[in-house]
Amino acid sequence: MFFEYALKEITRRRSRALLAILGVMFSIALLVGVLAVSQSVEQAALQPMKSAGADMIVQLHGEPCAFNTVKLPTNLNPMRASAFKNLGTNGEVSAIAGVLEFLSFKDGHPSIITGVDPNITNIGPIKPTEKKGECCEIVEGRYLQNTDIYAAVVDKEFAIVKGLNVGSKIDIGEKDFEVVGIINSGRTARIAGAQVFVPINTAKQIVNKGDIFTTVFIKLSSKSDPKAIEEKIRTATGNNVTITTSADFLATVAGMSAMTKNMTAGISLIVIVLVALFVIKSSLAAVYERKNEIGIMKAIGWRDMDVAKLITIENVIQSLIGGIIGCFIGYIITYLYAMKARLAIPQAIASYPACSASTLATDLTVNVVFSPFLILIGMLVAVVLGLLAGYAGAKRISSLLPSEALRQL
Amino acid sequence: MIKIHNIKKVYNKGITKVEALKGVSFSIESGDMVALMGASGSGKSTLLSLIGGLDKCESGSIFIGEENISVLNAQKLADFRRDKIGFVFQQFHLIPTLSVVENVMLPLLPIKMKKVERYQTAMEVIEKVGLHTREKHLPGELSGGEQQRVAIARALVNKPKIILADEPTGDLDSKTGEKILDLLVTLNKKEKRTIIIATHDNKIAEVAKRKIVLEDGELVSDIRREKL
Repeated sequence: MFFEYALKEITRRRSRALLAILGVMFSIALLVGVLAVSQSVEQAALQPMKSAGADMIVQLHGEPCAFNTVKLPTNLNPMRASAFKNLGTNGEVSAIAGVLEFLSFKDGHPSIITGVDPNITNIGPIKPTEKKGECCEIVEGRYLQNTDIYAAVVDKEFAIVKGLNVGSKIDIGEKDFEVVGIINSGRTARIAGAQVFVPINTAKQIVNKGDIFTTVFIKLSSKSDPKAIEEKIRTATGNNVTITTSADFLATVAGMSAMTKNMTAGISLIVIVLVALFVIKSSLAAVYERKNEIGIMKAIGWRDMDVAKLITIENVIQSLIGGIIGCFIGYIITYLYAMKARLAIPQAIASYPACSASTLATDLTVNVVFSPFLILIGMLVAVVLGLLAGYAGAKRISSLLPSEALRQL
Repeated sequence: MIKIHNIKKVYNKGITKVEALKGVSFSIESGDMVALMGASGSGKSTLLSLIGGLDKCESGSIFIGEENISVLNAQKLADFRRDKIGFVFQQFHLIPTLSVVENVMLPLLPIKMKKVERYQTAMEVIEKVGLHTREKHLPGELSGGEQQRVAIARALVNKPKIILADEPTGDLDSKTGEKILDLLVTLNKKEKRTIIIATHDNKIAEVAKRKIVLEDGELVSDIRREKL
């Protein structure tokens, strides 16, 4: 009956209850919104590394090389493949894949080509699959094989623009390549993503700079020390290489968002404190308004803690209602943000020319990450707000003498 | 038995101190019905508050049975009020959002008992005050007399030995007032409950077994009915 009584009291004092609910709702919406946005941004920023199946990306940035019909991308310089040969021999690396990205010009238009090892499909720019809707689904033909030389797998969008089908010929570095498969790599940014994928050995022949890579993907084993691996790579390749880890990626892609996140988290914390003060004040005012009623309860034998229990239940119910609506609004805010947010893969990693026949995606898709844990946090904060208000009310109740509350007696 | 010995009560009103009770002493036998009379400000309401454990006196003692309630802490006083005292107020003081039966159940709420048992106990006293057909009505839907009956039922639900009533007929017309008074007299006669009524109403004094008159915080008259 405590609960039923509390509900009736909330209905009776609609305006006060509504104000308290709105206060809690606002703060929880802000809190959940901020945390859900940052979670979603983090997920989006880590997506390229996750889809590459790598923990580290090694590249050598430098001056663009001179123009040729075949050239390395704008700011990527070659790294000797031999430098990575001994990496991971003692188990500190669980997977490694070197790729060679280059631009092939035809009639002044560049195409983005990546040479990949056909045997390695668990790490790298694409992970071919037969599964529908997954990246990178082979929608037509097949993936590259070890025996392929002048074979190419082309991106679906590029194939549409260029009118390519399986069996079509494509000119790369003045060599005719046969399209053996068409893949759908989706419209989300990928590291070393390309319009055309060819066997890496053929790519090395066409670029004609020896046994080189432009990007190396590394998956560390669980026991390895990333710092030690970085040191090993720098020693083997020279100190100029850029090593990008998941953490660096997050800082680069979502750096601005992280700053905003901290700021907004700070603001939402202040809002929560203000709302806490507000609900406490509201609870105290409610106790004052019901001074007479509380006097009656005390007169008929309710202990202070019994009255406090009722006031706390009322506050917790109000906070829970505010919390539930707040969580819902928080996720609506996140959804709206995700619709409008524009996050891009760092320029240093995706050095694609702007004038190619079809553009490669550099935008990262921000998907709303629904987290039950976040809802739990939101509801927990709401309950704490309710308990705080209840506690403040209880303190006031215990200081009320029943005879004072019942001046009539 | 209620034993009041030399109780003093002072109210601080700003810088001035008002002596509400100036050393009052008397005893009330169990099953007695006492009319506490006096002009406004004479101290009768203060006396009722102290007997009911709603307030504490500066000095003196109040024994209810063997227990000195003037030394009890807030929690024990609450338990004392719940177990031993039933209050009836002039303005009824019912909770407007709760139905008749819910208002009557209110004193039982903090006590551990089954919902059905609580309901049945409340219905028994509602029937006793003649409102069993109105159990689901809200106080606003009842007449003044009916509301006071609900208040009496609420005071009775814990089966207290002592009922303290403050001007129970003060807000009622004379006919309804008489009915309420009859109910209190019945409770005193049939159930042997001790009833102390603070009142200005001479009709109450006429039916009470004893009339205690206060004036400026002092007991000026204490007359038994046979001598009235």
